Amino acid sequence: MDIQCPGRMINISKKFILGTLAFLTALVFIAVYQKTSQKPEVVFLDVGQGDSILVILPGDIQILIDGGPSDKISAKLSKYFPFYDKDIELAILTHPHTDHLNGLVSVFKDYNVKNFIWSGANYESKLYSNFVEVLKKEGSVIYLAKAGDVVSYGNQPILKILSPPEILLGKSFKDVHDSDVVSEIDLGGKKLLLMGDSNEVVESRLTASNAVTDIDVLKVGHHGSKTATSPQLLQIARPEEAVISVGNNSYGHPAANVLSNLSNIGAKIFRTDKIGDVIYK
Amino acid sequence: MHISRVLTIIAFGFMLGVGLYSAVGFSWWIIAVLILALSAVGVIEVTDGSKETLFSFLIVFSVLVGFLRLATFAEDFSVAEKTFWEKSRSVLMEKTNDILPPSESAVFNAMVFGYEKEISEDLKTAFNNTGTRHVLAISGMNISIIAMMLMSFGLMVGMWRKHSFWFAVLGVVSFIFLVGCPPSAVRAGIMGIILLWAKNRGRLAKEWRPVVIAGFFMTALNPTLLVFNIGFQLSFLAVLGIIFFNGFWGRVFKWVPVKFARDLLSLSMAAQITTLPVLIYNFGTVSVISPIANIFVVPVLTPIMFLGLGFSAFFWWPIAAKIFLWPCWLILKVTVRIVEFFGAIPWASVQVGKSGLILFAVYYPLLFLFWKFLERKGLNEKV
Repeated sequence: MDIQCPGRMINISKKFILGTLAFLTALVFIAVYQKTSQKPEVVFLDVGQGDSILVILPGDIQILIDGGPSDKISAKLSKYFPFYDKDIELAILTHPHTDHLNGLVSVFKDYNVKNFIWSGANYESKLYSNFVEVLKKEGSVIYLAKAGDVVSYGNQPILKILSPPEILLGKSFKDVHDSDVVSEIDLGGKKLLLMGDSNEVVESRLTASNAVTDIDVLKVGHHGSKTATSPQLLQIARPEEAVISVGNNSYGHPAANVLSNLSNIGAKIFRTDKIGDVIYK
Repeated sequence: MHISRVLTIIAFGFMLGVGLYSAVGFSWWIIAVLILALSAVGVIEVTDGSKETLFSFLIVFSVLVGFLRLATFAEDFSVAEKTFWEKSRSVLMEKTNDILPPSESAVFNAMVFGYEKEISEDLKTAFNNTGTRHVLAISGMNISIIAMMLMSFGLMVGMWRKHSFWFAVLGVVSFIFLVGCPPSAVRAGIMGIILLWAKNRGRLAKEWRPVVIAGFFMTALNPTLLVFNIGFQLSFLAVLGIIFFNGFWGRVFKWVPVKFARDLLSLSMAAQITTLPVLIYNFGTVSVISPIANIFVVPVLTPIMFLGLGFSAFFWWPIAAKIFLWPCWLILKVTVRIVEFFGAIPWASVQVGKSGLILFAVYYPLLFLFWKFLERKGLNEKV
């Protein structure tokens, strides 16, 4: 509380004007810096036990794949966004489990999601039906994932959908992991394969259809679970680097044999529970 | 006797009665004693008519009223419908969320619109540890900043002093409506206007009566405030602390070279000294860093409230809304960093353990004696 006669505030001093101008200059400087320093990168966010991957492209373009298990994601994302940018150009939901979906609800609340890709498969949960309501209100352009779909930036293909093989809208699954959206990111010639929570059923379908090629970085499926990342997949994909998005859990993720299989093919392993956010530039 | 004196006596008595009820509960013997005392003093008053008996009569009478008020008070717990004004607040807050990054928009919404639920627990703890949590609510401080800005604006565009005062009051009232009239903001508005009025009279130190009378009206409307609402207790006591001890702390910090740092140090120490037992009783912690942290955090309120007012007026115009909010982003980002920095210092807040009610019974009489001592030595006068 400033005890001074209000009348004295009339004389706006030179110092005050200079201070305001300096402050505004700093603000503009930060905005320009944040705008021009953007480089293509993929951030595997440390969201605890769950998945959330952010792809950043120059020109304030952001692609978010899954939202992790909690609403902490919003504050986490803001570290990677310019302060003036509240748009997410594209969000992808791989499958409707809580550790991928829950954070996405708060992302939709805090950010303006312009485009959205999902499988549209049926899944019984309160969170999922709540999310569908949020999605309807948001007004994003919604696409149903299908193998072969390509997202381009400029004329450059950036993201390719590898699975599901057909449109799954309204279909039910015994294991919803069968409906997982698998995608491949092309970052200036480097290929990143994002497996989501795919199980071996999806993997064998991908290898059988020759959808998977030699890649550079593998986002290991299902947090390194023993039900994913088969030796057959690794043999074809041959990643140089592998990222495991995992936190404290009671499921035994990541499985020891997955880790050793990865080491056997010479892949360097990066775990979000060990090093926090994994940034690939 | 002057009317303000009579009101002050009634206010004291009333609050004493409310306090008495919460301490001992409803019992017939107290009622009986009070009525007996009342009639005894009443009889003397009729026959004698001196100032002292009228004084006692008023005080016993108001204690009784306070006692009965809380005894018969039934809080309305029914969930009220969202009023039009509450909706206006949520429209504004959604607009903020659209423009500012999530962490900063949460702090902005707390400071300007008094909605602190979006702030993460970690950050709340940091604000608590640094004794700066009061900025995350609409307090008398925020309101008096708004009032002063409006008053200066009024003077700047050529209004008479009296007119610009009423202009500021009108602005504060409409701002409180804008944020949905939560009771805490209404109380803050009353406190803020009193402070503005007192400041204009240029004798802040003597204006404790309106504060006590305002406290009386607030407790008369909802007597549970006095005993159960920590926010009310803290802001009420802080204002009284500033009125009674600001001069003394100003002398203590005479050596501080920068005027605004000196003012803020003495204000925050003055507020601290009267609110300390409430903090210890409820939370068991004392923020040691508070006076220093407040030097950095409190000045932020002025530009934020200014930009917040501008935003509230122009929220419907996207470009203007951004122009008002983007500067807030940088200010708040730096503020949050500062709070986190101070909050992370290990000795920032000290655990002293929760105390019993006895603390109040010991502390406030001692504080009163201390104030008396300062008065006698003339140490309360401003330097």
